[in-house]
Amino acid sequence: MNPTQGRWSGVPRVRDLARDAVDGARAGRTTTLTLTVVLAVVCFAVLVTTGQSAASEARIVEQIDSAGTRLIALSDDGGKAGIQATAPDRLAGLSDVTWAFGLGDAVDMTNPALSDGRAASRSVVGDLPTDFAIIQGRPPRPGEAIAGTGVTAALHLGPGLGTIQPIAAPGEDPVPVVGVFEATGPLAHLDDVILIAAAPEDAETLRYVYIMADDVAVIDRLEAVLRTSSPALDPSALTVETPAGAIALRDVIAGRLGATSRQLMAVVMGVGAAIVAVTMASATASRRRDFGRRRALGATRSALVATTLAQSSLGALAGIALGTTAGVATLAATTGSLPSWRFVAGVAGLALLLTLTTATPIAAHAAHRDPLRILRVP
Amino acid sequence: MVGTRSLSFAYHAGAAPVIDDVTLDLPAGAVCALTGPSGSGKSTLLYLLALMLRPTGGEVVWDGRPASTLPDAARSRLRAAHVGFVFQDALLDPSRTVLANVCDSALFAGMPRTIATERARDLMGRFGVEHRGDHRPGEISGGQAQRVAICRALLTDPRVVFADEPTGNLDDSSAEIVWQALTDHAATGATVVVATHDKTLAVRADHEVRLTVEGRVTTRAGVA
Repeated sequence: MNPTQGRWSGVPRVRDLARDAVDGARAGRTTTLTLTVVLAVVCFAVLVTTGQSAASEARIVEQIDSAGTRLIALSDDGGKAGIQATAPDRLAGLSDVTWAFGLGDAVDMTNPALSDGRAASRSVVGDLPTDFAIIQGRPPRPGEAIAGTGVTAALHLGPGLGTIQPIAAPGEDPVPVVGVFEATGPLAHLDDVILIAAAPEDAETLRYVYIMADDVAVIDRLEAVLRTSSPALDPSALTVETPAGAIALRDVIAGRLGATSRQLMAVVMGVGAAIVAVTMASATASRRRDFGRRRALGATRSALVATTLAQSSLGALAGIALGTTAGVATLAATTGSLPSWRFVAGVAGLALLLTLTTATPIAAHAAHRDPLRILRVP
Repeated sequence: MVGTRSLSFAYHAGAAPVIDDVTLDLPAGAVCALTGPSGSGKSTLLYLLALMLRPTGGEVVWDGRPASTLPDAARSRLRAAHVGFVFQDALLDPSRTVLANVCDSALFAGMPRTIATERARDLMGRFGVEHRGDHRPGEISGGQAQRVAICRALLTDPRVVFADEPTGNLDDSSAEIVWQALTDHAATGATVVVATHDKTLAVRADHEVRLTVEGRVTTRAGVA
């Protein structure tokens, strides 16, 4: 007798197996509800405890990052390195670089209308980064200047702003000041400077180049690139500053917070796995005759395991959805900060994996029981 | 046709065989009764023939081909596609409706659900339990439960039906309905194998295989 010669294939249809799993999950309400509640509690507990740590970690790391863990500074302190004015545009074109700009020599400037004040100016080449917020006026075009918030008072620049002129060369044409900027993060020290926009071809050599990397992880690689193909005529006179200390601090903090989170999560997940195991063992024990009957009716062992896992997954998924939603909502309400979506998805995935890995050996054991012992009536 | 070749079976290594060197062929289109005293191995032989147990010696053949040596999944598919089962205590899933219980055998046979539902309603009408479709097994009588089990066994129009003490717990009228259903199905050309200790049923069967506690068999009528 060949199953392919009969009217029926002897192979269950996937759609019908899926419907059977749904029917089974409904019929076995106690097991389904237990799994739903357990997984909801596990996900909720992980998110409100570990999730809080993860959110704190993300916040601290963000603060450290704002202090310049991604910023590389090239400086020509002695003025002999000869950093080419085209360097910022070239560096900005590299992959892994968010932006790059360069600053020229410092020149003392004054307001020709009220010349008792002075401030340093530097030519700027390249796109101004987002860390420079224009709080008054507009961004400068080549030949125009913007003043940092720290120098507007010294140069008597009012709401309509004004002009500046080099103290050492009062005969030169005044440079119009068209805006005021506020520098934040690692560039905050530039608040006391006037920046005069310059095209690369109009600028001479630069004294500083600032490069923002896309990610902390590429800092070392970028540093190596800068050292091997230096944008300076005399690379030996060039100083390359990377935020090694800040990166180390970031790694230490992330590592410590991460270790605490992982331990806590392991405990919660472990307890959850134990409850899932007990629930599944109890459910399969109470369905021994059901398993034996289905084996007699032609269910393969793998089909029995698959339907059992599918039924368990339905309850687990409902619990995971409830638990993560409640956990995220609680975190938002109590701390005002949320863990990343990757963390939430990771917790949900881990919870489902926990259910399946715990349930699989129990279902497999049940499917391998001797059906005759189960089915025979003494 | 289902048969055995020098079939032996022992539950444990070194234990006395429950079935010992049995060769027989059970013809199609007939009811064959497996009889014998308690412990003679009626149910064991039934489950061996149904490929749910692996022989410790010899083999089970279906249509002349070795079937008991097939992998477990292949044996399961053979059962799903060609076998109907009737158990002594009906063995319905108490958490599902009567209709869902009848359709249970269709799932693993690969029978589409819509066809299964339609055929299940027909069979339930034929056996007088159509009005119980939405009830749970706990809400119907033992006789009705066994009729539901018959519906489940016949749903896929199987070529072989195995019944283990199908009338053991039933009153006379319910037992008669079950017996008639089995003989009617045999009349369609199917092989029906019934393990029973009921001598009155055995007498009414077309063939009889008598087992002894020593694991031997004797046969009556058309059993080779």
